Amino acid sequence: MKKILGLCCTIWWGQLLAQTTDTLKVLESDSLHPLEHLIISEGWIGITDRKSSLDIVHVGQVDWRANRALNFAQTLSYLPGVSAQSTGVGIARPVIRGMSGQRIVVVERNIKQEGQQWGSDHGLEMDMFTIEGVEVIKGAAGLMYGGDAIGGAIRILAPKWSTGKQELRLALQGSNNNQERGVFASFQKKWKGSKSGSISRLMISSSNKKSSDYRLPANAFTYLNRTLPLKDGVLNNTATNEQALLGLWEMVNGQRALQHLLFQYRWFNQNSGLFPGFVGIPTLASVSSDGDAGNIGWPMAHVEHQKWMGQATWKLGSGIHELEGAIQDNKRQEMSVPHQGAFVLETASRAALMLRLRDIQLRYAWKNLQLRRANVEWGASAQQQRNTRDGFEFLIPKYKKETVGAWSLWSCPTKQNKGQWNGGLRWDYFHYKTPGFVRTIQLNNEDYQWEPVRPTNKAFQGFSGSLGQSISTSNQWHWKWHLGRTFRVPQASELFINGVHHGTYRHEMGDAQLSAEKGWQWDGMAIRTSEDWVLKCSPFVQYYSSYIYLSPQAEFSILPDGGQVYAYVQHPVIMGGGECSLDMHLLPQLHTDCSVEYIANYNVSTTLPLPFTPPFQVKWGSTYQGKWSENWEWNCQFQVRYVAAQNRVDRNEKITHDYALIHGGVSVEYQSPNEKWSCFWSLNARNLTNTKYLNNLSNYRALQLPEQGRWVQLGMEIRWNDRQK
Amino acid sequence: MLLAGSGLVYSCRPDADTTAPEIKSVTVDGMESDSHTILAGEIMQVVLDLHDNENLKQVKVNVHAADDGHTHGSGSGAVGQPNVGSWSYSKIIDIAGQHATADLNLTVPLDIAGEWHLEVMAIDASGNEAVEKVVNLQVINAELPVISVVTTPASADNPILLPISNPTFTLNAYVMDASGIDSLFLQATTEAGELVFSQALDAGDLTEFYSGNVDITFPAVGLYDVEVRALDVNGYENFWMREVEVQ
Repeated sequence: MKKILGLCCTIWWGQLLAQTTDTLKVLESDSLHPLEHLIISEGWIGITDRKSSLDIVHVGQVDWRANRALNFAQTLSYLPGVSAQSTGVGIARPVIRGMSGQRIVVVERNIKQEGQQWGSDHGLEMDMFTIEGVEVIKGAAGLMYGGDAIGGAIRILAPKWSTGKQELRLALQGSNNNQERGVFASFQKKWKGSKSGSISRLMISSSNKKSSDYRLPANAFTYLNRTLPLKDGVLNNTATNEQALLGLWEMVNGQRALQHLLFQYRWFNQNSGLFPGFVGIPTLASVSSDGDAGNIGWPMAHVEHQKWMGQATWKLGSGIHELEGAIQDNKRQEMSVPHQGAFVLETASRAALMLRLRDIQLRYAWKNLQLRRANVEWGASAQQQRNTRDGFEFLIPKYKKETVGAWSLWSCPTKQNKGQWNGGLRWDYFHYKTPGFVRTIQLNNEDYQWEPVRPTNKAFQGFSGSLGQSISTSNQWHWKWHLGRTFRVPQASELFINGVHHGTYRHEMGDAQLSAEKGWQWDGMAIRTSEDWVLKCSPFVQYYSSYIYLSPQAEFSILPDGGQVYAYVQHPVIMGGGECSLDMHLLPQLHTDCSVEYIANYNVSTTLPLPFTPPFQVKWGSTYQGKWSENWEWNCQFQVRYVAAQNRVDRNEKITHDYALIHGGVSVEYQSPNEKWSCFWSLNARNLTNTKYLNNLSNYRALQLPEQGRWVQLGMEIRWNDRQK
Repeated sequence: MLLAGSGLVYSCRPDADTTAPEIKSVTVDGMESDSHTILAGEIMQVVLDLHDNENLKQVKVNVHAADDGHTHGSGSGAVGQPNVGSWSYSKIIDIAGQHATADLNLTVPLDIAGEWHLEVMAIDASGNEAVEKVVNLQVINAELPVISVVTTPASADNPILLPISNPTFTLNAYVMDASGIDSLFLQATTEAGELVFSQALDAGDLTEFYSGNVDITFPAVGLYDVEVRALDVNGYENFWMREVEVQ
């Protein structure tokens, strides 16, 4: 165990041998808690934090790289309690204990990633190549990041610091199913201050990724009750291309008052074809291949996301002050031909939906305040969003959202210093304003005045809080529990959406009268450690008095291409479940883990389960790490995943059958004797048995479209630095 | 704790109504069948018979074109001759009780011909959705001009294949209409809609009209749409269409 912890620390600390201890401490601050408090390092199950009463899993670069899948969420899904809600190959969102989308936040340097994340077919607008590790917080993280994090949070860890003064990194990636090919390059330069003990870096990176139409093991699909064939299983017009840029400058100084200063810019641009069978009323002609698998035709979506971010950390007395600010500009355009819908084309434009979300965030925290034995943090945050819309279709209106929050977090050691108490209180205020929307549509060749959203001016405010304990009762046993009172304000889509959402294949309707979602969450954890194994069990129970979800209504859409209306409603809901994992090192090079996870929920009003509930799962994986010489290392791994049938489904939701998947991979890494350059090759294969299955969490399940069959991904990464040994 | 929590939730068995309503029958002009032949301009009487174990709520009736070959879970999926004219209809009817019938009178447009689907969906008061019923409607229109075309090369295949060494296609159209034919229009377009051939012929209000041999030479390899449109003196239009692929 010590070996593993040592390795972990070496990876992080070995980069900066020349720096002072104080500077190193500042560098560690990107993680929620300093590494010295980590108790275990698990090749597959991440690293668990000892101090926090929350269930936080740290996934470092090695695990992230070894498990890299086609998208962010799929990469995380090897973790117990984490699944991926997917729409095709390239788009997926993480699901933590059955919660996703608007209940999970993705955070980078304490700034929430903000886009049109209400759409379950909208992916994360972030370059996969620049992510080198994450922290996953299971359960309520609302005290830290606001009510949006009621189900958990995923923190993107900062790119690693160069081990030399300069570093070049080049990565190539390709997969067979959709002929994906990606290239990534980054350059990093590091400076040491002459006397001040500071260290600065400049990093720029760029990536480009393209993929062609992808294939599924299916020969037909059903949308809007129409069944249409898929020739050779190809989803026509699903090609994508993606470009991204990252530029950052940061400085750390453990000896001066200003300990950390950072400016970062991210740009993400994606064009993706939308399968014509899911847009408007599908026709045979529209889903037939145009003979070119690589082109992007109509309909298509263009997404551009820009993020400017600044962060400063300074020390004043014993306290540490953090100030973060960010501006994000997210544009989403869906282009199509309004040939068979209900909408009258007002211009010659083919822009069906044009959404632009501008987001400003400001966050201040005063940390490390010592009040008697307690360590206290005070903080405040503000956020403003402006969403505009255009196009001949309608889903969400123009709106403005303003948020203000303030919190206090504290921790203090238990009496015998065997553990730690954690607690906190947070207050939030939200304000929404929309002018509404009115549109003339055609029904049965007659004009009809449709008002999907009325003008609304609405405010919410409320408190959330938590109390928890993390304690070691012996060298082998460690316990955690966490009780939280949650407060989540409905998102704009839950209040205002009204229209046929092609991404989820149904008419979705918001309700401006929804109240805040309040609930109680209890999470526990028991960890038993031994020399060669770690057993971890994490049960949870939750109760929400006003849980918001999309529910089928006894009402049809008035739109000709809409079927039954699915409306956001609020019901009391009970949830329970948990994960158990066993992590073993039977041989020094052989790592094996096995986990089981289960979630059950109960809607007190309908007496039915909630939709999209992950089924019972068993994950088993082994990895063997070998060495040919001092410079050559190799790794071989496989994973078996059994997913049980899901018979507990909501009204009109179809059950899914059980299935088993086998994934495997090998990787080889060469490190030059002078440690100046390294090369890493990887070959990952998923669904090796080419199993045809329907994923309970997939949006394609409604269309009876299976997930992708066997696919293989090849990757190569070269790193060079000018480190002097 | 895990078992207790999960067990608590799992033991809560649903007692809600999850039984879907049933569309017992869809009759068109008094007949219950999967396919009906109807006349353009007629008033079609549709009667729906619906059942539910508790309480019905709504039924939605939708008429949409079916000439693209799509099916609703069964059928050949073969693409036929394109429809003449357009017809779409959508109506939501509120219903109640365990058993309900709904009557509709749909006016079939005068100027259409081809294949449409009559789609019926239903939900009950709990939001359970019935398995939909779909009826094929074959619309016959005696008022439209009748077009017969002989092509060289003759082929039943679609698309008709032509070698690039001889990319010429010959058609000879015969049109018949009792009220008199106004004009004939022939055209060929690329897949992108670019016009490569166009010719208009005045039929002089004759009841029968022969176009004679018309040669169309395609400029390059590709897929083309060849179309013959006939307009009668009353304004009714019919058309004939084939795809030609030059290889």
